[in-house]
Amino acid sequence: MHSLEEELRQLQSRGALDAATAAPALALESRSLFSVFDELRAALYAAVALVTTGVGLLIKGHLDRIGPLTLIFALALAGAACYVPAIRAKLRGTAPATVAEYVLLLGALIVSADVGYAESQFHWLGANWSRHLLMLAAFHALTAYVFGSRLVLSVALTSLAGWFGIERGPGNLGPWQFATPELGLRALACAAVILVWRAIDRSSQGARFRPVFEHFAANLAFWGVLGWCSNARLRVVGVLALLVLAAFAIHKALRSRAESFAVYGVGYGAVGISLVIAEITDLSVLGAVLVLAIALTAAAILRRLHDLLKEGRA
Amino acid sequence: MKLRPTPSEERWLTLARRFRRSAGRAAFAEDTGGWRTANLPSRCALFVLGLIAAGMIGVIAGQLGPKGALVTAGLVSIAVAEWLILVRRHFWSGIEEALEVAGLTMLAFEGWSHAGWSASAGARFACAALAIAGLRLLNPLFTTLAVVALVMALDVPPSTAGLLCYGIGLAALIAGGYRFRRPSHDLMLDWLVIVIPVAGYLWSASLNAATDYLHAGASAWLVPISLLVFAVIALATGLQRRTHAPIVAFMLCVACTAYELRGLTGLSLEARMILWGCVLLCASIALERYLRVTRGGITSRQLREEGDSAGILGMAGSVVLTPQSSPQAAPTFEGSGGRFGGGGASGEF
Repeated sequence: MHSLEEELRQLQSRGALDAATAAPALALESRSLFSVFDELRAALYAAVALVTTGVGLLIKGHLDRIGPLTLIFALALAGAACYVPAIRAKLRGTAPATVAEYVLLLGALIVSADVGYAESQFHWLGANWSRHLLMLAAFHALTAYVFGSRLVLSVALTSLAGWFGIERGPGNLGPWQFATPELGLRALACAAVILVWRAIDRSSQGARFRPVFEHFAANLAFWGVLGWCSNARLRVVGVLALLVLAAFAIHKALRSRAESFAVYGVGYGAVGISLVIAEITDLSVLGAVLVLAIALTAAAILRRLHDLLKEGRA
Repeated sequence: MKLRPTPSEERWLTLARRFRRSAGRAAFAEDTGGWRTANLPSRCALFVLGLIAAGMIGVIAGQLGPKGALVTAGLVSIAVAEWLILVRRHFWSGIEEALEVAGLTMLAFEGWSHAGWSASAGARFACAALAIAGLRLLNPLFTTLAVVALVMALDVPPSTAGLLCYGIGLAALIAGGYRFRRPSHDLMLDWLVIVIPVAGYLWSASLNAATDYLHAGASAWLVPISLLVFAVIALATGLQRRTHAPIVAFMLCVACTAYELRGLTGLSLEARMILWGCVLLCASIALERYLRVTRGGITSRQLREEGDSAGILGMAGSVVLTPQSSPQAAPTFEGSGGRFGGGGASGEF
């Protein structure tokens, strides 16, 4: 059990910390104030995960006994009930508490499961069945904007990615899953749509969801391009696109002081080029030396970027 | 030449990380001794790059001269890591940690190959490599893994290994009450308090995967009771000392107990998941509301600024849970974790 009170007081006496910052920090160090915020958030996430998975299993296993209409109605009711705390907070004119946001997330997940199930049962959209994902994306986006929820916006963007045909799940995380011209292109197209959405959000909403859009777009684009890098025919295009994306990500990191984008740019860039070299050289001595050089150079660049960003932020 | 930061330098480095400031800034520079650290996203990325570099050193050594390649590669990796620490003053930066642990693991693997590939010998070598790396780099992940490897190396029956783990967990909990100068020593104990009881449960539960507790003898109850006892002690300690690790250990132990007693209610899996999920949700809501007003110094309010990585984790969590479906596979529809197809992609579950 350590306490950094002594160092904090020194910082304050040197004028490096103002009283408003120092007081809560000292209270936390002396343990006169203790927050269980993170533990509660973890518990809420675990609860949402349990209920959502349970609902998924319920749909899968008890289809015959319950009946589709009953199940759809019950899920809709449960989903709607989860929106109540956020609606009440909205009506009171206060920001929803962390708890209300997680309950809202649960509601959004139940609605997604319900609509997916209903479509699978009644085929309302026929051959255009995948449009239910687009509708869900629109619904969740609307909810996210009404209640100002980043978590629900993430659900909306995942549904949108689903509509673009980008699969998610165990076994689909490797870049080789994107190693077709179509899937890589879809990932890039989805990233582009998200960036357009971000631009509209920026002009109309004061960019409150900007980090969510940017992280989604960056990861989708990098996965798509990594897929191209692992395809023999698309390798050159893939490497060029990867370098351009990496440059954009690093530029973004330097401009907005968001270190994650430096990690994306350097990390994805190094992994992609190493992948290409390993495939071309079959990891001969020359290939291994090149990959080693890339890894060490990338580490040096990332280290430098980290220092630059920290210096700028402080 | 300093082998690592002094306790005082380490404390200032911890403070710089907490305020997300560079250790080289004027306010910290004179106290951090020129040591450089990285925050979580950079540290993870640098760790991966370090592992790739160590792997490539291994490939090069193997192709140039297969005899003794692992020893050469291991020594080169360790030498590079030590150069980064001693000359470049990297500490908790990720890359030196990856190179050091990979180098030591290569040496341990070579030693294991000479010892005849027995499981307990492998665990002993792994324990030694991880312990050296953990103590040299003051890294809690490596020291915790070293303790797990040590329990494996003892080659005792699972129930004994389980009890031993709870004992280690309790010892770490008691030692956590001591005021350490180095924050890293606290972190090492925190990791032991959180991880080792769960490892102990996994060991002791391996024999009783499907225990019917309604008809089981008293001895069978040892597994859930040990967990619950540890959970209660951890919670009491965490609340008394106002530290997070024992409270996290409490939460994990309760989750393990609930899993262990899964057959007790006779409910189906989905019913249990929904029921316990709702109970957990209601309990969390009640606690959050109760602690909105600070009571006895404890609050549910967020007191520290949220880092970049916490936001990314939240988004990733939502992505993982989002149900994805396709109508072609109606009878096997699976929410939360199912796979989807959309926009013309193949849909399968």
